[in-house]
Amino acid sequence: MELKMEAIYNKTLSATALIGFIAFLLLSLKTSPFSPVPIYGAIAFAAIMFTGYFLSNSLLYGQDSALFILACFITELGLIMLYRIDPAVFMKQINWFALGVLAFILSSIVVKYWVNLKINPLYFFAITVILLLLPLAFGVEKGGSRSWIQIAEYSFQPSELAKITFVLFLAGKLKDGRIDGVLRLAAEILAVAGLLAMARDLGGAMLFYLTALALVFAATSRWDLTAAGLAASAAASVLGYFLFGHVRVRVEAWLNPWQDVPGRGYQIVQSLFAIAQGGFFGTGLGLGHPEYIPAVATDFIFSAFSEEFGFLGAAALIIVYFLLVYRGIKISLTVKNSFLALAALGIVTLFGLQIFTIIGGVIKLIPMTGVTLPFMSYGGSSMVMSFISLGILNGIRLNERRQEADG
Amino acid sequence: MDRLRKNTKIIFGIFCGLFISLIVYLSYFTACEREKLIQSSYNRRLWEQEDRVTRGTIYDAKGRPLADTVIDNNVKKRIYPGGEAFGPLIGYSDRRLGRAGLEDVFNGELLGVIEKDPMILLRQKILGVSDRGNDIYLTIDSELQKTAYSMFRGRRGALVAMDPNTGAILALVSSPGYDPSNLQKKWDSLVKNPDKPLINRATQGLYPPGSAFKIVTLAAALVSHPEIEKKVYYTPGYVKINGRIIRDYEGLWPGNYDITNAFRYSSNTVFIQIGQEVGKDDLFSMAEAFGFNARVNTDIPAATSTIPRPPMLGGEVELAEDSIGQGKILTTPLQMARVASVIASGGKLVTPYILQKSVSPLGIERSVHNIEAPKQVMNKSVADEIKALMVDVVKNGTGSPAQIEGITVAGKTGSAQNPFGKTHAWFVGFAPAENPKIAVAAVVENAGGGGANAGPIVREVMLQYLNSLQDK
Amino acid sequence: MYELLVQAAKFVLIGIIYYFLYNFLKVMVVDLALDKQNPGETGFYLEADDGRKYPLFSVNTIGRASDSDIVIDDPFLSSKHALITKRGRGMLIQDLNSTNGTFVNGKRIKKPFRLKERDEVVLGDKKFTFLRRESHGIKNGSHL
Repeated sequence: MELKMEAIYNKTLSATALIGFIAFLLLSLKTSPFSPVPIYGAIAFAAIMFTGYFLSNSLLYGQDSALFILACFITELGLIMLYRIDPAVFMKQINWFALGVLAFILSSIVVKYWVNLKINPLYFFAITVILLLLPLAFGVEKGGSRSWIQIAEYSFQPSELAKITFVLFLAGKLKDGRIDGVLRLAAEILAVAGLLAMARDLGGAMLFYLTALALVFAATSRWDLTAAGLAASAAASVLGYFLFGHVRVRVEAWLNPWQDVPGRGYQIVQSLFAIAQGGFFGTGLGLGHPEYIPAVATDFIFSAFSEEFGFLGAAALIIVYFLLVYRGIKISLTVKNSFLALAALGIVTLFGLQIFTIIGGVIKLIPMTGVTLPFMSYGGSSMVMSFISLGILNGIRLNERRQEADG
Repeated sequence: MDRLRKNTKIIFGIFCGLFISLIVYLSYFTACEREKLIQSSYNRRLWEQEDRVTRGTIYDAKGRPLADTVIDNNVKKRIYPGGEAFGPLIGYSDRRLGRAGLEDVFNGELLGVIEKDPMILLRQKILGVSDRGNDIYLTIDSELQKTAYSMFRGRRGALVAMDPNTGAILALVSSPGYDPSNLQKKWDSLVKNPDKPLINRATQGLYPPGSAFKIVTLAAALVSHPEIEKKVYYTPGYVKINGRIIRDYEGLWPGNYDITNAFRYSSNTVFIQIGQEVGKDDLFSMAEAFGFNARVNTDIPAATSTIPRPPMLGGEVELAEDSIGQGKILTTPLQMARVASVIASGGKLVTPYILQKSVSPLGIERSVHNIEAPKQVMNKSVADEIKALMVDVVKNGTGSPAQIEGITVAGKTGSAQNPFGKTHAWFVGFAPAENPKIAVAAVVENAGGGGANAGPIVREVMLQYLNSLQDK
Repeated sequence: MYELLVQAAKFVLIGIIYYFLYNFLKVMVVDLALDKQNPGETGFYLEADDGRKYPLFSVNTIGRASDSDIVIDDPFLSSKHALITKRGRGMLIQDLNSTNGTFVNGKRIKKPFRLKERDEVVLGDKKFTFLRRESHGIKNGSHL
């Protein structure tokens, strides 16, 4: 029954709000003298979440509510940690959250009514390239990679938006299930990955490349191309290891961080200390030491979360991310239009790979690459674009239903 | 279209694999790697814990504090009431200088971070004692330790006294020592001191054992060739092996010696002949049975005492040197105390230990040591024969400076040649011979003869300990 | 004191987090159950005012007659009142020359009419809403 489903979703929403109130109440008690500011934060969060939920439900009949709730849940855990780390950062992030929710609804609507699916994919390719060229031309360097542009006091990472246009480009190219000109497509994909690598955003380059490979495989079932692509990426990694100093540093820090703890191993070792400290149940909110972890608000927020919420919390978070991927894949499977199905699959793949890359990196399963953890890491571009990605998924689902019902 | 759906499912399967691997790795990390990381000295959380926690107290066997934390004007300060005699043993714990000695070995215990049971942790929190580490009680008798230390009078050397039946360490002295209180001020001079007071010679010092090793040679001979007991050996005062001449010490007359006399007067040349009869393999395996070449599995980290594996061919010179404890054999004073204990306990090799128990702030006691069961190295009858010979050494031979009126002392001296000057003076022994309560090994570096220099130290330690047992 | 509170709260928080997950597990179970939907079902249904749901197959006759696919006992309905059939990916409704007519969104239909989601269908004085069964909706056993 519709009602029962509604009831389950309402329960999850209440649970999310409750976690927020308990956590922010604790943070209020932690500040001495008692400060009500964190509680206002909790109220603001709950207000944005509930407004967003009811607004989207009434505007977008038949939407996939799970997407929105899961994203809010993760955002909240991120906000709690960000308040722990720096209340000023929290203030900015909660604004980004509100903007993200708005963007989610808008992008859902746009995609739902977007009937003109005949846009030449080349336009998307051109936009992607332009977006990636912007920071190279006007960019500022941040955290070792030149992938930001600064407008007044706001900095923006165009590669976040490029993710979406890139996926749309690929979906357009591959929607017929075959490739017209393998070499040309390969060149286009490599050009995009190359632009990212030039900005020293190697993690991003890898994400884009693997997503492209996954889409080629999904659309064409060409095992030979997929294998060749994987082999090429392996070769590129080896080449990168020998050519670029910073690749070597990352790999060596991964293989043996204990060799040089104060130097190249510093980040990963601090991250591991934090996760180790958490144990199974965590140290408890406010009792960990996120200040010991470098780049804790962005790359290493998962470590700080693990420290205070423990293995159980971290595992739950990974499962929640997995549920998001699952919902996305489900949307892609129900869609009959191959362009939309590929676009959904591409967005999910990029999203899932990004999560795996960053979580795997901070727990030292794979070498560390500086990508953000969607919905959790601090950063406006990442937050808004993540919500837009979800909005597009949601819109694709609505678009499909609209066509079914209307014929 | 169906192809796309099928491939999408494959990609979803890959994602399942990736996310499962994340959780599996995280579980492995939490279950297995965690401990190591928490205790890593790079971990700033540990320092934090040190600032927050009042470090536990280290007590001796009778509850006298050896390292204590006092709060002076809200500043926590570690004090060491034992002074110089305990420095190399207890060590220090200092933010800038790091940690050493027992302060390092039992750091987790003293900070209380070793406690893992969440219920106990919660009870400690509720009772408000979570900011205290565990107290530990050692087997050390601090009076004995001080006496032993003072007997060295600043000479370089070390002494280990232990209960030969259990392995409990009663005193563990390294001289010269240092007072770990206010260490930062003294640090530079301690580091520059050529006598190296920061080193614990009793556990880390590796010396040639000299004639004290003849106990092992004798044991190997009595076990594998019991007939040598009745043999008489002739010595001209020196022996020539492959062109190399090894002499007895000057006071020894050339002539005929039975095994009692050879041991009593510590004849090198006779023991080389005995060693040749035993053979390199039997001597080597007996030395390993005595605990050489094996890491001591104990709570106090010690260097491994070594005897080189004999070569397949030749090796006559090495065998001769090994038989009299010269050459490449290296031993810690701790290991020599174990050698004495083997004879004292009727042939059993005990594992030494120093931690009696730890007491948590809630009063929960734990004996933390897990000592291995003693291993029988030789028959009791063989051990008793050696014991009789060691009693004779003190009564009539080189060990006479260790005699105590009314108590039968068993011992063996050693004067180990070394490249740095006069011989190292060794004395290993135990008392009372009939029912041994204490086994002692002492070495005084470059002091000369073993009996005259190490004997009186051991005598004093034995006497005081046995008196203290009487008083009780 | 704060520490104690946090120690207690951390178990509560973990508990709620897993409660959240548990609910999504339920959602997933429902999803998977729906994937194995009965053959012939179109996934559309009519929902009456009183909340009763009538799932639609490829051909559905509606009326008072007991051999109708959907039997509605209402004096204002004809025995064979209307027919709903699957056409392409959508559904068509047509009136079977009923006495009181078939209304969609307030208009009486003369020709077969393609239904859209949330269209209001009135037969006699009974009001129905045309809905697509939510992929996250739950089947009501008594009607399936």
